[in-house]
Amino acid sequence: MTAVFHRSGAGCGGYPSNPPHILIAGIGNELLMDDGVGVCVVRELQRQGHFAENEHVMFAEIGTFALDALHLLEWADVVFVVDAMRAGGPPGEAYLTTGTEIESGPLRGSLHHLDLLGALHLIPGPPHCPRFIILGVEPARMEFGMELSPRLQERFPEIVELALEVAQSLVYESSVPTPL
Amino acid sequence: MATVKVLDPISRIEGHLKIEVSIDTVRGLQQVVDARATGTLFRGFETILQGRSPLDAPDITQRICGVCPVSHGMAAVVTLDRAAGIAVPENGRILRNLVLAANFIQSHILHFYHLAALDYVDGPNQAPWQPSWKTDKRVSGAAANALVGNYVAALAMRRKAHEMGALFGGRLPHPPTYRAGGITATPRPERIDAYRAYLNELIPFIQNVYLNDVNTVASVYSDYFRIGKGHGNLLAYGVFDLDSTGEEKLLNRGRWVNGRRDVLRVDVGSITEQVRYSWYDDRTANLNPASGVTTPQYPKRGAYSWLKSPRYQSIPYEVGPLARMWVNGDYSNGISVLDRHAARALECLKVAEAAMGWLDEIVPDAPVIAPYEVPDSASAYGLTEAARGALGHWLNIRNGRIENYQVITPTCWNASPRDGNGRRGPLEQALVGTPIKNQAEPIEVLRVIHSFDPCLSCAVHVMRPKKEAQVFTVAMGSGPAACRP
Repeated sequence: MTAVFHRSGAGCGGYPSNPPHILIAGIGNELLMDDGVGVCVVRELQRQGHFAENEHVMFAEIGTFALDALHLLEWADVVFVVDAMRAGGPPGEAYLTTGTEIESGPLRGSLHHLDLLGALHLIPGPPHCPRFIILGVEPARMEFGMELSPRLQERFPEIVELALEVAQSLVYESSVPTPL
Repeated sequence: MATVKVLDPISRIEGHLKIEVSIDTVRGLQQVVDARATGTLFRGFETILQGRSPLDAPDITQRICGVCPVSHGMAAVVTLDRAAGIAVPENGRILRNLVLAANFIQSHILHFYHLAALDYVDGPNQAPWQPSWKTDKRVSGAAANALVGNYVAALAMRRKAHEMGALFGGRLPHPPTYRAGGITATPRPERIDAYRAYLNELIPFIQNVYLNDVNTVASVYSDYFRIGKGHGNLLAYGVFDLDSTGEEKLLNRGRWVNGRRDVLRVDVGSITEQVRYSWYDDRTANLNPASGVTTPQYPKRGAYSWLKSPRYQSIPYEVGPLARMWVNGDYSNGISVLDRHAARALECLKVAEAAMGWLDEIVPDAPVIAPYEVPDSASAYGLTEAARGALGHWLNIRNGRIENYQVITPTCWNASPRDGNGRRGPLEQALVGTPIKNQAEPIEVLRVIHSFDPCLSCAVHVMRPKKEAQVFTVAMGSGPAACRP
């Protein structure tokens, strides 16, 4: 067996699936307050029933172990990630960026800390590099606790609305014939 | 004069396990002369549980760790069963075992191929394998190519094991079907058949590929049968109950003390946690977890870890597959880096083969869960095993709510700091004497550490943009069109 590996995260040409598969993924540990904001947002979107009839859209609570999401990444053409992000703004600030702009650290002999972008390297077979759109939220508190910080709770409805708008736009864009 | 080298092998971001080794030349051989393991996991997860319904414990404790959630689920439900004096129906016991067996299988495969193999073989010349240390990689040529190919096959096998566990776990990781009193999965015949079909793929892989690759590594690293022994004391809580009393297990409870001949029994009351070198108040030292207190004190003179030091009758014990297979009489070759890998692979096969037998013991249409009522007040513990070693939960219920919850993870045993008697933790002790070829790349230290399969909380996964990254701050309430540059 020959291993084929590749660098990806930015999207590499057309989408294999038509219409493209869109994965809406929440990342983080919900026992660490704002670290779990991505999981909370994605769960709320799903609870509100969006895209329930659209079989090309999947919600996923990826949590903390990216390797367990490998089959979802394989399925996806577009990955919309919601996660806590330290980008230097005030707590509660929301950021939009893409997979090419995010640090993906080197592996030092262990996959315990493999991140989502790093996990892409491990998909065998022909190159598969979904496009990553990331909605980051600047955390206020990352301490032990199951609730978001007051600051993020206050912003939560707006963050969910924003996430929905991004998701709707991705679903719309991917439903028209010309890929982004 | 010894050189002090700090390795942070586990976590990219915050550093959940940091190993500091002193390297010096003794009798002409450069080697590790001292080691200190620093766990930065603060046990605040336990305080989250206080005041909550005891029924929340399985779901919350599973999220302590993304790698061994099933074991936390098992420990929590066993604790709850015992708190209420509930006998779990046979089907419930078997289905719980089947989900945990799937977790053991995936974890052992993951550990060898994805967490440990790169200490012995150089990966392909591309990310995420490179850059890597080049020192002392003895598996080369065709054998190396084969191992890397199996690395990819192992990913697929691991996924199959996950899917297999999800048949009765509902989902993996974090299976929601583990409930007090039993399990909420139904053993429909097509699911039993599906589980069997997965095992029919996994068992040959374990037998013909995994065990074979462990042998390949062992054949060129036979010196690692003598490296990394440590204290030589082994402890297993035991796992996979074979009857409703839990007296008989696939892997039995017991402990083995270096130099003694017999396997000794385990008395839970003899487990205490010391905090002399941990950042906790000394007044909380030497408590049994049933009355355990977690009071941080930072800074603290002499302390260097957030892990407490669990000890049995004040003695450090190694936990893990080698301990389990040893006290069960299934493995007796020795205690070392390679013995840990060998025992883990053999255990993987043993568990998979046993699971095949359990499928035939399921009684269709028989109950899977007993009615459960939360006791108003109770104290209980639940002992089980995670893939990487003995796991215990301790619970006090008062007024129907959790008053105190304490968790001792396997890595707390293995990566614990020195205790009140100044004795090193098992991993620290195993590192001492490890020969080092190249101080700049102490790969030998990683081999010893990884042989224990340490698992600290997969806690913080915050993203960080690159410097100069294109990141756009989004104005709330406006559509995404407004946030493009």
